[in-house]
Parts: sequence; C-alpha cells; structure tokens
Amino acid sequence: MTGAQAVLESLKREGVDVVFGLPGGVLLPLYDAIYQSDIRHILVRHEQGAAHMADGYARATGKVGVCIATSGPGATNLVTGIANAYMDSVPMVAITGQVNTWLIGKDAFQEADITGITLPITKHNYLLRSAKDITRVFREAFFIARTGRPGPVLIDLPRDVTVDEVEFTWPEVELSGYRPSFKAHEMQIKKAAKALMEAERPVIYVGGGVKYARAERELFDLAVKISAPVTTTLMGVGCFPEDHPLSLGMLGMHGTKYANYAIQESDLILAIGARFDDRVTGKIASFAPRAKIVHIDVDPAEVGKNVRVDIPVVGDAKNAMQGLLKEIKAKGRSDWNDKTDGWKKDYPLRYIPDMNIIKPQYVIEKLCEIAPDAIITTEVGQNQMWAAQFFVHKDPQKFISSGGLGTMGYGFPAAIGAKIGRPECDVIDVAGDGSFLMNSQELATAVVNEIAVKVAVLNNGCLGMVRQWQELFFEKRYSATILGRTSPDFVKLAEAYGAVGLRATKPSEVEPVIRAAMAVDRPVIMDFIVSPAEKVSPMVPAGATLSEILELEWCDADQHCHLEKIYAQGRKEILGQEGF
Amino acid sequence: MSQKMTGAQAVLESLKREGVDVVFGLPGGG
Repeated sequence: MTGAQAVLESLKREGVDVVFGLPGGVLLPLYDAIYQSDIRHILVRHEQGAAHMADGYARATGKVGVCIATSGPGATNLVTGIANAYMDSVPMVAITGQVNTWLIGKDAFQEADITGITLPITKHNYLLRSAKDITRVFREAFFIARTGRPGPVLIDLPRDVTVDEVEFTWPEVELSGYRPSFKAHEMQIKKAAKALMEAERPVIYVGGGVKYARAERELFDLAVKISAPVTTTLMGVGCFPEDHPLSLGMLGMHGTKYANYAIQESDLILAIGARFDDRVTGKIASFAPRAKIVHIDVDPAEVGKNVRVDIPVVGDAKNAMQGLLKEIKAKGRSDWNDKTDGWKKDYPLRYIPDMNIIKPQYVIEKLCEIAPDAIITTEVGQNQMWAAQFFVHKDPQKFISSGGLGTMGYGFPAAIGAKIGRPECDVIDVAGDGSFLMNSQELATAVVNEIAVKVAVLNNGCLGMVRQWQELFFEKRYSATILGRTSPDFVKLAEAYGAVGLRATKPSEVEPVIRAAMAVDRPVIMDFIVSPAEKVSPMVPAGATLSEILELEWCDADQHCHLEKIYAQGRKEILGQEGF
Repeated sequence: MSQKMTGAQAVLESLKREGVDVVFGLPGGG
C-alpha cells in the first residue's frame, strides 16, 4: 500500500474513529486516502480549531485526540493547540504535512521546521524520512501520548513518504529509553499512610492527574475513609463531587476562601496529580507553613519542582491510592472537620444579585440548574473562573478548560470536539465576548457537521480579567481592554453561519433563553448582556499569601483599608516598586 | 542622560526613539 494508506490503517488499528483537520498541498495524497477511508474527518476552518477539538475530544472521552494540518502555516497554526495540550497533559497525536524530503531545508514553499518549533511543547515528536517507519512511529506515538503523564506527540509527514509504497506490518512497541512509572514504591506508600494517620488537619489537594488516572472512585473512598476535606485545582475540578460535605471546592487565586484557609492551617497536604502551580500556591514562601507535604505524581520531574516535598510517591494516582487505602485505618470526624465546615458556612462563594442587570454568576447558576449533567467547556478569563465557581461539578470529564496555557479561543472548538466524542451529552461553552471571537469561525464546522453545541457568551464589553487587574492595580487605566459594543451582534453572527442566536438583556430573560437553547438540536449562541463591572471574587492578589484572600464586592470599611494595603502590595509585586 | 523609570516605560521610550508610531497587540494577565 502507499504511505498514506499505511497512516490510515495505523490510525484505525489505534482505535481512532475521528480526526480533525484541514488539507493542503503536501497533504493531497493523505487526504486522498482519507477520502477512501471510513475514519470520520471533521473539516475545520482554522488549524488551531483542529488542535483544540482533538484536545476537547480527548478530555471528554479519555481517548487520544488526533488533528491534522498541512506544512508551513497549517503546522504553525497548530502550535498554540499543541502547547495547550502539553501544559494540561492531554493525550494527542498531531499529524503535520511536510515538504518532500529532498526539499527540507531549502526554504521550499510552505516549509516550516515544525519538529524544531514544537520540541519544547511536545512529549515527543518525529520527522518521518521513510515510509517503512510509518507503522512503528504511529504505534510509538500513540503509546507515548497515552501512557505515563499523557501529552501531545507530533508526527511530521513529508509528502513523498505518503506516496511511497510500503509493506504493511504492525510491530510491537519497543522503546528502551521510555519507562513511564506506574507502580508506587511500597515503602513510600507506607510512609504516606503513616503521615496521614498521624495528621490532625489533613487536606487532600487534587489536580488533573486524578482525572487522567480515572481515580475518582479511589479518591472518594480515601477522603471518606479518613474524613479528610478535598480541594481541587482548575484541572482537578469535578474529581470530587462538589456537593459532598468534604468538598472545599477549588483553591488558589480565585478559589474559595475556605479551601485557602484550610490549606494554610493544615498540618498535612496530600497532593495527588497536581503541580503546585503559581495560581494555586500564592506566595510560595508562606504557602501552608505548618504542613507536611505528601506528593503523589506519575511524573518524577514534578516532585520538588515548586515546593519542598516531605514524602514523594512516584506512580499512577489510582495505583498509589489503592495502596494507601490498604494501609490506612478509618478515621471519624474531628475538630478539623468542624473548623472547615465553619469556614464553608461563614465564607460561601457569593455575589450581589441584581434585579435589573444580568450578573454573569447568575447565568452560570441557571445553566447548572437547567443542565446539571452538561459538559462545560470554557474560554479563559472571568468566564472561566465563574464557570468553575458557580457550576456544581461532579465529573472531571465534564469540565474542560485551558488551565496551564490559558488559551482564549479554546472553549468553543473544545466543545465541538467534546460533543463529537460524547454525542449523548449536552455541551456548553461558557465564553466571553473577547475570547469567543478568537475561534468563532468554527461555527461553520459546527453547523455543517450538525454538532449541536451551545455557547453562553457572557458579554460584558471588555477583556474582563485584564480589566479587573487594571481596576485593582493600575488605578483604572483601562489600557486596551474596553471593547464596548464593538463586538459583532452575536445573534446575527450565529444566523449568518446558519446557527441559532438568542439574546438576554435582563435577568428575567436568562432562564427562557437557556431553556430555548437546550431544547434545540442545533448549534446555538446565547448572548447574555451582563454587568461590565463585575469582578471575579474572591481573589488572592499577586504576591499575597493564600490566607490574604479577599472578597472584592463585600468590603466593609475595615476590610477596605486592608484591601488598599493588599493592592499596594500587588502594585509593588507587579511593578517592582511602590506605586508609579 | 539617565532617568529612573519602570521596565515597561523603558520599552515604550525605546520604541519611540526607534521611530515607532503604531503597534498592534492584545493585552494579557499578570
């Protein structure tokens, strides 16, 4: 068969049923093979959309997502999507076309050194030089993408390699230099169990690693067995049911007050599949000052990267927790649980409701009420934080967000990918008017393929998160963040693409608009005209300790004074000096 | 001639001295 046919046969054997891509000159032979294959191909309108769709598909299904782009600009348009998958450990295989092998390095038409460009943002990448390597490389790529700490693998495919004839074989994977850790060391498990038993104020801090290990059950059993409160990162949202009494919700910069207080007061943190990101820890020198830290992670490079770890446990989260469950004895409720419960009662997530203007948080609450089992994807910024805070999450495959890279324009194509992977689920992209426009061209993809995703645009007329920082730390100098009503009419935009557009301008219209959108089996954009001044709260200002978390809308005079001090501190951190 | 300013101000001053009169961009977080 031809190289192109060998690629398709390899994809089939790896269980791929859908690929997201856009053709181009050097991909003509591959696309000719796609035309004759039964693998579903979703034609995107921009390659960044293909990468995010493959990413959303992977996060919603646990399978490896596949995207395809042509050489040169096609390949470079994938870069943001690959970096996004790399930061959030998403299993993905990206296939790029490349110029003929004899033209590589000659500045040929549409040539880009994509293996060089993506070296720091892929788990591994390949430049194929011969058709006989195709099957081995594809097997290895899928193996590397899905094992250990998952991540994106790129295969660069020169045109002539896809044309050459090759004998199809399906070799076993033999990678002598790649041995992903799986089984946690027994002695470390015992040490971790002993520390857990001795702790009086434990907190379990959960990241995306629990989701990728499909270890939610073990996490639940572990937390309940020792009555330990659980907080999650943005990537870990949904790993532990947020309506459970032991749930502390999300921690960090825009986490709950009670999660941050619990972390700061704890005497033991059991970190599982999390990486102590700067948005989580706040000021690192004063992070959890009295806590012993146990860190379970499949990637040994994460241990000790950001914080000092007392007991490292390198291995798969599910395997390690199964080991822990055997070693620990049940522990009932303690004073610590009373304390965290008290914080939950005293400092709930809240906002000031309004009868006349739509509060963005209210939209999220209504979405949760009407579609509690929907897959929620997000863009990045305020919309993302409100979606994390005000929707009650219970399933990690149903909250899909760009955590590490923070890619605006991610949520909509990710929603399309998620819906293709899980067609039985409602899928809603929570968006902003700024971020939605960054990949709105994929409306065409959704309409032509009848992918009935719903978009809730929280339309506040500004780049809200940056505007929020400018309000707090830059004396309201709104440099380049006010969009006003210069965005397109989103209802007309939807209609122009053949989708459905709905608008709500006052609170009483929110529920009817959501119900109407959910009732339609077509792509819908809901345009919610929301309060432009609303800020994401609470907030740990840059450079502050987690316990210095503040509610931005609820300050009394005393707290306001404190707030001013914190802002000054924030300005100092950001600008490296006092004020301006 | 020297003057105390922030790095950001120094960037803007440099652009000005290079004769730049327009830039194209989009802001981001902190």
